[in-house]
Amino acid sequence: MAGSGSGARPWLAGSGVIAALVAAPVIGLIIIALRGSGDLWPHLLAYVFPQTLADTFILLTGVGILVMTIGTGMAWLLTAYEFPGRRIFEWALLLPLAVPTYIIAFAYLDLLHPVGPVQTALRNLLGLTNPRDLWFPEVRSMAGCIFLLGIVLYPYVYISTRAMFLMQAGSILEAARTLGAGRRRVFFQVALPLARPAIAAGTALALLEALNDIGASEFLGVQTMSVSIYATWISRSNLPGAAQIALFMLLIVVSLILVERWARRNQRYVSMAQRTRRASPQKLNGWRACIAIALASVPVFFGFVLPALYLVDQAVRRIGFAGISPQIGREIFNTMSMAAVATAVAVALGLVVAYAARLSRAPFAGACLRIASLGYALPGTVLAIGVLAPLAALDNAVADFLQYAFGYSSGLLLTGTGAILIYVYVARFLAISAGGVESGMMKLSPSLDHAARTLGETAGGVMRRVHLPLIRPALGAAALLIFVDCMKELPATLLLRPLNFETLATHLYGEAARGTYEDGAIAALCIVMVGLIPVILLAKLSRRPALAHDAQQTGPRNLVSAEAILLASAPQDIPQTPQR
Amino acid sequence: MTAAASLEIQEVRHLIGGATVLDGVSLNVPAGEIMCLLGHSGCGKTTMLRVAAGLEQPAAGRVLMAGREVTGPSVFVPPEARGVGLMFQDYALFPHLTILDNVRFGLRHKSAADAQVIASAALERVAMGGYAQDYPHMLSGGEQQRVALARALAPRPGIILMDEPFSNLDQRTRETVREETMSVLRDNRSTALVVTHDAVEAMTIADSIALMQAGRIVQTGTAEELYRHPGSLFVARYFCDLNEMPGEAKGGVVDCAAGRFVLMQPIADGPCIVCIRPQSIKLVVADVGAVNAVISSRRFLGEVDHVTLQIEGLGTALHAHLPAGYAPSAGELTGLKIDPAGVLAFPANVDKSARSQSQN
Repeated sequence: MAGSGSGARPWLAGSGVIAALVAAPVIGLIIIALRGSGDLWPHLLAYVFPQTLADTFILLTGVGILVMTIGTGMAWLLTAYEFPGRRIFEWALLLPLAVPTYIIAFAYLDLLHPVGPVQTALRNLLGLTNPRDLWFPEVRSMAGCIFLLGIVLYPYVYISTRAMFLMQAGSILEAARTLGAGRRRVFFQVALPLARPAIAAGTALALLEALNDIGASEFLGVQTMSVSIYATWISRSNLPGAAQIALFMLLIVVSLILVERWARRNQRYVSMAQRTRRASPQKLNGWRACIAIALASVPVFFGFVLPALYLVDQAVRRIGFAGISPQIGREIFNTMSMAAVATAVAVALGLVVAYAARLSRAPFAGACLRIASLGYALPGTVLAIGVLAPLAALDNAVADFLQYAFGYSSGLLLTGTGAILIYVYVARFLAISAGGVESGMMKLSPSLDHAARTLGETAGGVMRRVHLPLIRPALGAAALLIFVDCMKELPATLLLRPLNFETLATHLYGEAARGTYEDGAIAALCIVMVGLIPVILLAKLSRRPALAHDAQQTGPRNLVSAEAILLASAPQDIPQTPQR
Repeated sequence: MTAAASLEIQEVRHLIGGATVLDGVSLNVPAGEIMCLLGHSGCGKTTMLRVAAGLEQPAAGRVLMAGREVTGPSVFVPPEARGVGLMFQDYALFPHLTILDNVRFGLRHKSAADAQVIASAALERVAMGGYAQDYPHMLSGGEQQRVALARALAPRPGIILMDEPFSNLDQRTRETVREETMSVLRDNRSTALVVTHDAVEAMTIADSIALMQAGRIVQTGTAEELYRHPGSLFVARYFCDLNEMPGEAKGGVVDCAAGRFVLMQPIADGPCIVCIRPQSIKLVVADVGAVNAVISSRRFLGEVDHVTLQIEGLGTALHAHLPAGYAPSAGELTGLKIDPAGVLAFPANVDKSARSQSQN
């Protein structure tokens, strides 16, 4: 059945196993959900579901509108107009990507606290003394949550839409102008409809992130599904109930994926005019330039500068006051080692899955690649529930067996250690490495493989001696992304970490949940600083519209974050053999 | 030195995505011979090459190398164990390796010292010894092609397979590189199967030619056999731009708008398509009663003149290639003298598929 040549079979088998491992949590979830929550079901139906569904719906709608507005607006502002500082804003607008949702909420909760710096400054300004005398919008609200999620998630829309605007042929826009349409009409009647697929795709990605969020919504008192799952599982110890909520969440995920797919299918029409000259931006001067700068500054300021300054300030104070606690050191080690192991495993498995699909034209190989990449769309809470139940059963069985057969008390090997966490990280982020490897390999002519095979090299040898050296940049970018994503991951880590095992993210969550602000800022600052690395890479890449375009064309066919798509197609420094 | 191996392909059938790409192909390349697999793009010739290399596993049929079955109902030797050298249209040099390391790639089982010696010798043979430490992107197309040849030959494969090896070169370098390549292959006494779509190229390099159409071999033979005695209109068209017109065959004689001819290759009586080679038409003084033509245009091409003629009873123009020098001008009336050796006829309605094929 191997489509081309031989030697594909072991790779296909490996690919199949990996796809099964990624799919297992979904199946596990369905099984638990079907088991039923018995007498708790009426309670869920009466008190939990209406609230959580409504909150989730309102949140997603609000965040969707906000990210579309900011993302599209900024993309148009930076492609259609030229003003002082535009080049800086081009990458500065990406900075909020480095701030996870739970950290932005953590920072703003303290910043906007009645006795926090912002309100205190305002009161001093107005000459008020009593905090109650000043009316200030409550950040612990649905509106606050929508604002904070939107202000850090808009870059998904910004990236994809900006790339689309850059791809749009200047001739099309200029044709519209010569046909008598003003700039505003060009935007609404030509540029915007053409960019719709990119906007939809970016929004779908941002909403998946919003759905995945557990920290921000919980701190701000919004009862989203992730929060409900956590509460139902941990506080009420009702796993089947949590699974049922998770199943609903899965439905939302599936519909978001469908929207994204549908949006991308239309993308083809837009890339027709890929090689033509882009439209020249209109130069803004005087007060118009000032407005443009002010507009572009807003998201950067609220999404990155303000929270980052706050975190730096708090971290410096904390270190000055108490030094760096050994606990933070231990957590940094925990976070890094978990992320490193998960990255290594994910990269290795991604290689297997993507290479199997290259070796074989069989539909099975492609299906495995797609299934293995599905994890990225699964919210951490959903994945955690799906993984935990089957593994816990297995774990108990193994422990019982060891106890019975050897009298050896092994403890819980999988769930009691970090192994389950690694599994979830890998399942969730395998899409990045598989996609990175896939798009890296797509640039290599298949005749390289065939030449190597006829020169006496086996399938595995070809990968080692030809592919690996050639896709190293793409692989490195994928590894970096996975590492950072693992470090930032909160919901699954929170649910699955071993007892007394803290990472930077869970530490931060713990402090924010308790309302204490001790080492939290240091932990948050660590995460943001590491998160900046891929953003910097991304910023470098987005300088080159051709690359961004290339990334969208050859990027992984599956749903992966925009940053992953861009990074996975990192420029290959190795000169390619000129083709014809 | 590995002796050149014979290559035998028996009744190979292959499907890609449900479509039949190879439909019972059989070939026989004796050891040390160079055979060209000729055909239009999409006819399956490259797939045939890939089957021979072991890069595709066919649905049915056998491949034998030096008499040993390498592909068959119960045998499949993977490409790395076949001892074939494969050259690609895009050369497929590994961009991350130097020229020397590229050539050394297939010499992994030799000691490092031996590999070095063999690779250097292989590069010397294609006059690329001075480029050993360069990278592929630093070379011109012709140089890359020579490196690809050296790399394919270095492990001393029993059979060399080449997929359009010269098609990425410009006209001028192509002829030089082709000559060099062929002399290296002949010095090596290699067995070679070369895929090309260019009839002139096939005639230039091959000991024998197999012409493919829609997944089948339509005719095999030497260049001369295929040119002089084409078995079908498709074959005739492939090797020559023909003047075609309807005719009627009877008793080994054919009647058409250009006159009556005795056929060198007689066909069955009935309607037929008459083909006249442009170079077998000569112009003579017009004569009453004979077939006369009006010259509609003349193009001077150096050694030959391309002349188009209108004859009565034929809607399309007649093309003639004349030795330069005699220069009739447009509008003149002229007589025609057609060499019967340049006239072929094929039964009509048989070769419909050939017509659609020859148009792409």
